[in-house]
Amino acid sequence: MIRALLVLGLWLGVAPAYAGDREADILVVRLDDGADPASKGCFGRVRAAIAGAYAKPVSVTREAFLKAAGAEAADDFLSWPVEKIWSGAPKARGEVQGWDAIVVVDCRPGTGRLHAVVATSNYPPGGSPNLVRLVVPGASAAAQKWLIAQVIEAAWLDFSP
Amino acid sequence: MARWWWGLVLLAGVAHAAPPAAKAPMAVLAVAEAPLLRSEQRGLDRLGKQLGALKRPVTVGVAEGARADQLRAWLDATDPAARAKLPVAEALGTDGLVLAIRYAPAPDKLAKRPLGFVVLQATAPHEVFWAQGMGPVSTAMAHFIKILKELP
Repeated sequence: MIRALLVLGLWLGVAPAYAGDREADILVVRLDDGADPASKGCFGRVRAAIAGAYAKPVSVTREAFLKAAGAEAADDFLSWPVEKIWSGAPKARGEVQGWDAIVVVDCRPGTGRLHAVVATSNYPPGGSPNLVRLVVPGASAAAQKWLIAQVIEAAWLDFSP
Repeated sequence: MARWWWGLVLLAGVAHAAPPAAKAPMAVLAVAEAPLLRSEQRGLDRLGKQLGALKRPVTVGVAEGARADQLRAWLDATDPAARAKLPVAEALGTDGLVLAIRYAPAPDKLAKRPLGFVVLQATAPHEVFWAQGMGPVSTAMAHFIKILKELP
């Protein structure tokens, strides 16, 4: 039994490695104002889903993001151009060479507000950076799951290791 | 005797039960500046088939004229409050539900991903889904259909 578990552990642990293979480095921003008690859980589900999609999510606070982006309010973030979204990102540190994507989420299930913006890095160089804006009115679990699935797909657009 | 009586009441109830309300038809429309590529048309047709799960009539086509103009306005406006004030009658046409997908002009004949999509319903608030920069993805389709199933 122990031998079987050891073999299973080795088999699971030795995943094939490929040159250039790496997880996506994704900056995540929780942009709600904290008034809706359900927001924390909703954002947590988005972050957990990103972490489970072969990516390393790193969070930045709402205040730091808005300050860096030169914005006083976040209400109109769906209309921000991609450059403004990127300007809110802190400089990558440590092992992170640069952000592959920025995911900004304003999730307030209590008021039926589920908004997200996903900006991906510019690949191939010289191309136009991609920006995805998502809106689904509603507070249902299905609406949150839909938003999460679209966000993850958007965060991997144009990814290059 | 009492058992017979209750049986008759039950049968009468079943016989007079109202049939389920018919669902309004749904249109899946491409909003495009150029003729669709074959790959885009196939994607649109596949989406139409997947939406057959909604148990409502689904048609697939290309938006034209005033309908296309109104759908473009919905797809272009990034402010939800501004979109809520946009007219919707032409966009909906005679359908109760409309899914409009915007395709990029592709003069180089390379397939590109959709530029965005919107789902509008006849009753206010009209907007059910709205997205710019991508189309509806297959990994989210089950949730997409679940939400649409709950609409009249």
